[in-house]
Amino acid sequence: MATSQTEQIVQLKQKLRDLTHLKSALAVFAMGSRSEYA
Amino acid sequence: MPKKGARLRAETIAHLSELLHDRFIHLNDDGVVTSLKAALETGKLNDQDSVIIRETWREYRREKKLPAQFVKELAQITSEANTVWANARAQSDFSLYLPFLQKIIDLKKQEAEYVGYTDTPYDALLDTYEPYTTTREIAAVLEEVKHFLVPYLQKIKQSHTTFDTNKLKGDFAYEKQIALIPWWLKLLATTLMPAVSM
Repeated sequence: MATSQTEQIVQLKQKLRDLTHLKSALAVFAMGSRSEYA
Repeated sequence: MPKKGARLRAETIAHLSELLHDRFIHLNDDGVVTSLKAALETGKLNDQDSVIIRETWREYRREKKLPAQFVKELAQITSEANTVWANARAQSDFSLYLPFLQKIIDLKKQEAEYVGYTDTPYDALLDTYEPYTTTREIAAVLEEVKHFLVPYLQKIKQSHTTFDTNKLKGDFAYEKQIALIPWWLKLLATTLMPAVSM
């Protein structure tokens, strides 16, 4: 059965949440090294 | 950070960047992003979902145009360059940083080619900071600011007014800081703003 649009949106939001965690970790890690020279 | 750890940290950042890029591209493995993009174009989604899908699509399309190896290389060099820049600044020796800057510029030019543009390569790079804005639009704004700022800077340089900046240092009560804001805005409106509209 095809996934409903509502389910697709819920799935996408969950995937984006997972990505955001990775993105934040990367940003904090990268910023940490830069802040030493601020 | 230990100086000898800079390279390892750069490699870690590069790896994480590549991983993130890879995950983003695989968002659409099951065709969900493409399917929702089609739904977005019907105009029947609510505002919140529309924005999420529009922005995911924008980022997905951009990431898809960039090779993973390129993403990794750019992350690696910019991270390494940061430590080199700090060292060059401490020694007041720009030549130490120059090869890194040149490499970064070359890579950013390459990025613009990968992403694509219609007017100027910088449009492709600007999109990550100011989505949907073009270089032409930003240039017009900066031109306007320049008209005011250049003569204003001259005026400041020629001024004989002095100010003791020590007055700005110290502990100031929160309430007094809050009370200062409307006073300061009024001063700006009556002194600076007329100059802007000149």
